[in-house]
Amino acid sequence: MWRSAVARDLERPRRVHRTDWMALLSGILFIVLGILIMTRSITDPLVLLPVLVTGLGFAGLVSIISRVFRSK
Amino acid sequence: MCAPLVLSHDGGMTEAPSREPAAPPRVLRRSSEGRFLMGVCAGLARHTGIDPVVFRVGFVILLFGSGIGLFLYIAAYLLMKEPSGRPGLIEQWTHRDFDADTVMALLTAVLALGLGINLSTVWLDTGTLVAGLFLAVALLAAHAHGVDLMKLARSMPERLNRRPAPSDLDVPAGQERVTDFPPPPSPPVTPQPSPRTSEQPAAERPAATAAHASVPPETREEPLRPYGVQEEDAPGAPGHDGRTRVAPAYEPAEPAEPADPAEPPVSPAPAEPEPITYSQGGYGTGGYDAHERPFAPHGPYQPLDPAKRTTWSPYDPALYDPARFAPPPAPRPVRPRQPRSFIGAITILLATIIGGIIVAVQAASPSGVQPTVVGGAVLVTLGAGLLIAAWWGKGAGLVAAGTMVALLIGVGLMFGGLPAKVGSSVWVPTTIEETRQVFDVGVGDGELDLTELTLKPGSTLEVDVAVTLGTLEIVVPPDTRLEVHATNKVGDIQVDQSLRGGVDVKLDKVLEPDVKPEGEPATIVLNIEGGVGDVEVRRGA
Repeated sequence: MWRSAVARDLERPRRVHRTDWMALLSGILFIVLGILIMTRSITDPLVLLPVLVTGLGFAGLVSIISRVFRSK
Repeated sequence: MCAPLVLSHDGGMTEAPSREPAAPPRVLRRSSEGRFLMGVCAGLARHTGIDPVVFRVGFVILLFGSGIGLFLYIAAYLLMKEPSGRPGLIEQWTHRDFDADTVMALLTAVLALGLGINLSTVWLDTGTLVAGLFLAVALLAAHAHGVDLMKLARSMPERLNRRPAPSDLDVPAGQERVTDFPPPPSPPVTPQPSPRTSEQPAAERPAATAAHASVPPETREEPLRPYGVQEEDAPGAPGHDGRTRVAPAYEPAEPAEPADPAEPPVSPAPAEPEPITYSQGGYGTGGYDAHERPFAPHGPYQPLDPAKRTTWSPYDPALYDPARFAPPPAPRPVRPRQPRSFIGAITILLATIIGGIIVAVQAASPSGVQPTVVGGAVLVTLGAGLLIAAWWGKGAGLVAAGTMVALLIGVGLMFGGLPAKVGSSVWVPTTIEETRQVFDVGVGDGELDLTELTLKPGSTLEVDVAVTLGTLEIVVPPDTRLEVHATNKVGDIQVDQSLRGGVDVKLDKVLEPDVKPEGEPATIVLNIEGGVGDVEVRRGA
């Protein structure tokens, strides 16, 4: 594992940044929610809050999974 | 189960202090102190340092939210060790030993299994959301505490196959145990009258063993040590087969007979201790001193070293010592401090500017400021900033800001919808056309003066008025017939001399004109929808 990690890093030396999946998915979530709120498509807090919590939880889960795979 | 025995300087037989593993794995046991039911939550709280109320509330939410809480509690009860430290039920049934991380991983697996069952049966419902949320929180918490989830998952087969320490299991007296696990963690030392023995036949013992028996007892006055492990762990020692060698430290006691009947028995002869000399061999060559101990040129033999045990495995997380057995870990690269990112600050500043522009534009419009549009625009701006931050990092602050804005919008929707505008409002309509709108105060104080209206005799005018938070005062002409249909969530509704207050107030009232008009009186129908605050309807002068 140690060797493979080194080899993998050597294969991709030009990589300067990694995608922040939490930020990416949260950004998409906020944009969609903002549009739906502005167009009055969402007027019920019982819709807005679960969507917000579920979306953020999903984003966090994806972020954790990506970090776990990167740390291999 | 016998503790290791050595001879004391006075010739008496005593037990050596028990051995402890170099890195004893943390165990997760139920707690009998402060428990409600079985001590599961108290044990989890003691282990994690979190208030047990958190775990109790979590189990209750999982119980009533999805039903998984019951199975999770039962699983925790079965998996966790007893408050006394004895193995849990599943450990007893399977003859295994689970450390704390293993138990927590198994509980997480139970929760994930419940979530999977929910997803496969009812797909998305409250139970699925609750279980998914708790699973995400559990994984986030584990990750935040530095748990390498992937490494933990890879080590699960090894962890699940760990055998319990001998002291944890009840073994009939006289029955030998075949061990492949490290010694138990410090069982209490009790006097042991039975002398030490070895399972090896006397004829098969090496000469060193015979020499050992002939050594005067005073030379055995040394720091107490586990006797059997020395024999077992010594490289090249007789019976050193790697895994099936019986650990003499836990052998049943037998009478202390010399290996060779011709040898003189050990006599309790008080004498001065003699220095220990290593007579032959060297470390790694199978050499032993006169006491059957492996040659240790660098000081006293350290049987507690996990690497010298026959059960040592490089994959056993409890015994793994990367400093000795793994290739030297690459020095952790010191990450250069990331350059300061201004994406978050710029995005928040941009969102503020956009929100302010929208407020300014809407404030000049007749409809007033619409917080819905402002909040949505701010949320979209923050989302766009997060998309940029996804590639250049440091977007955590924006996630928090966006979450707060969305929560504020949600709270606003929860309390009677978002207010259409904020501030004081005064309406004095003079024509019928001007009344064909909803006079929405939003947040603030509002006054609607209808005394300037010119109404035809016998006509009916319907006016809709709303307020979210604040006071509303409506003034009606004295020569009109008034029909009021008012609701208020919290506060008072006063119509002329009638007052009604409280929560979810509803008032329907009809008032005849105070001043008799010429001809048929006109009728004004007031539909008032109040939020939090007071509503007053009164006659004008």
